[in-house]
Amino acid sequence: MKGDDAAWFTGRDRWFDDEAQAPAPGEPERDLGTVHEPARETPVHEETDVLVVGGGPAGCAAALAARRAGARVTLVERYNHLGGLSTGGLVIWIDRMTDWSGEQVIAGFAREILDRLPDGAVMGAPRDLWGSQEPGPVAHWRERLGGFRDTVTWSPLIDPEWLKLVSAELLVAEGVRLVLHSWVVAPIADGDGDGRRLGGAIFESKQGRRAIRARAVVDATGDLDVVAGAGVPYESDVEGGGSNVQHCINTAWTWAGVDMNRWLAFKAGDPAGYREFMRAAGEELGFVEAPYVAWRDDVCVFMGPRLPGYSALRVDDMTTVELESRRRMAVHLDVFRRSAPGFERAWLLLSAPQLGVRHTRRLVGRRRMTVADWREGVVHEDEIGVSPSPSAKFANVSVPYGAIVPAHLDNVLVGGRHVATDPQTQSFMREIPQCWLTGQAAGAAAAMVSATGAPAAEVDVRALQDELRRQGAYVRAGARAPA
Amino acid sequence: MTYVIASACIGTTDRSCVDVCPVDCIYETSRMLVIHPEECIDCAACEPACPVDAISPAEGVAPAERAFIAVNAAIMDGVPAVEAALDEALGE
Repeated sequence: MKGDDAAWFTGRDRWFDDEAQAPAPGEPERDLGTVHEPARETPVHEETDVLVVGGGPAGCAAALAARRAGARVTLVERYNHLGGLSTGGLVIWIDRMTDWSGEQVIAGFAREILDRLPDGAVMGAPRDLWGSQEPGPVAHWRERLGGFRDTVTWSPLIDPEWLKLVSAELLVAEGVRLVLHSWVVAPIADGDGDGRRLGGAIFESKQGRRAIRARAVVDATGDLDVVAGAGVPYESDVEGGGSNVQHCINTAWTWAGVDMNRWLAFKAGDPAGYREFMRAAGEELGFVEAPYVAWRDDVCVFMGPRLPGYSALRVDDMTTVELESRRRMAVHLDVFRRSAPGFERAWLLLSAPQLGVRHTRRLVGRRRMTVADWREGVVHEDEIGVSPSPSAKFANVSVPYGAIVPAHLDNVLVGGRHVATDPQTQSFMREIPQCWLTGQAAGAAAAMVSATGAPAAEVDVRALQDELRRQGAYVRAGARAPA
Repeated sequence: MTYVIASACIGTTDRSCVDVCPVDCIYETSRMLVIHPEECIDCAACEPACPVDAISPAEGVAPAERAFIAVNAAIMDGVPAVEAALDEALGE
């Protein structure tokens, strides 16, 4: 950057509030009328048992689980890679999978995929420290995102390139059919049904519009695109005016050429200097993001800049967030190179190819995960997995099967950040491990729906729990007791 | 850094936010409520509960109110640290 003149590559004298780009968040769209598209015949690209829509964490777990439960599986993904936000979104910090005692409660696909990453592609606390409250290890791992409150956790940082590659090779080796570069745009209604069954989905690609017929569908879009596209009710904090809870959006970024050991030594050895650096940077930029150590100590990740007030269901908002995030990346690089120890030779490694979205829509399910349930430590009789709780004050959080089953559709399962929860519970159920958890259960259940033709609500939950345990998931024995 | 309570809370301390916080991370000091940044799970429950719109994500705090980010964070060092940080923020 050239001095304090940020306009040298924007041609403007301001970084923000660029009125020309897009309407402000919340501003009504202009009504420019419509165009008419004629009806058409759409070629069928594929017929399968289970169609998984979306190849993010939930979709990958769902596809593998459905395949291992015996189904033919096709996974459609709009980007050129698998892993979704955990790779393309640079959410390379895989949040806690251990509970407060150090037991890995989010296991199954989560454990398998991380175990398959090569040495050097995962950086996290060693197993014998999980749950430790020893001040030394806690202090060490907190700085490396492997400690939460006063406990060492299994919450590693991963190399997104290896996770992309290992995810795809694992799925392909097990016989999942991958369709990349393809965006599912609409569900297909099953003509025989009463509106409660889907016959598959339509996707668009360089080959135009095509259909995939399927006996069961997993909506792993993160945004509930399939279920919402079927015209049934859903919950949203950003659409429909039902809530004014804000959910930040951002494009994360990574830098290379850094010396994170020097940075961490500076933070630990000179706290006053660190506070002064962050204060001065905040004053100069009007905001400041902190860097975190990544999977190796010459790379760092910035998990912001979290921008509130935008909707990830609105392309103008999404465009604004992309522009704004990258501008902030550039000005941060300037400040950090100038005055942050360890950042003198930093360079831009990657700004995330996928936008960091936390929430758009949530499923209206047969059951809704609520704060009241996990504060009381409820163990659901239809438990499909267990999430660590947000505080040591609370027991592990039981994830019910009903939260991944749509209330209004019979042969659709949902896995990912859009499962049926209240907004507060979604704040942790949206994390990558939880998406692996609900995705794995959704895939296994979809295979059962495909095999029997019965509605998802009538799946034999005991058989599903057994299948998930067979696949390495953690489902408590107590959850077998009748309700 | 997650949610932050700003100056509008001073003298109001309605406590509606305390009731809705699922993880009890909102603390009361003599003049205002503050959010513990390491305990906050970023769930946004408190934001719409506040009758005086004092709560926002840290990233969305108005420039004139940014000092309150530090005031909230001071709860990590206890209530007296919040009182001192608030004095500083108010220029007292």
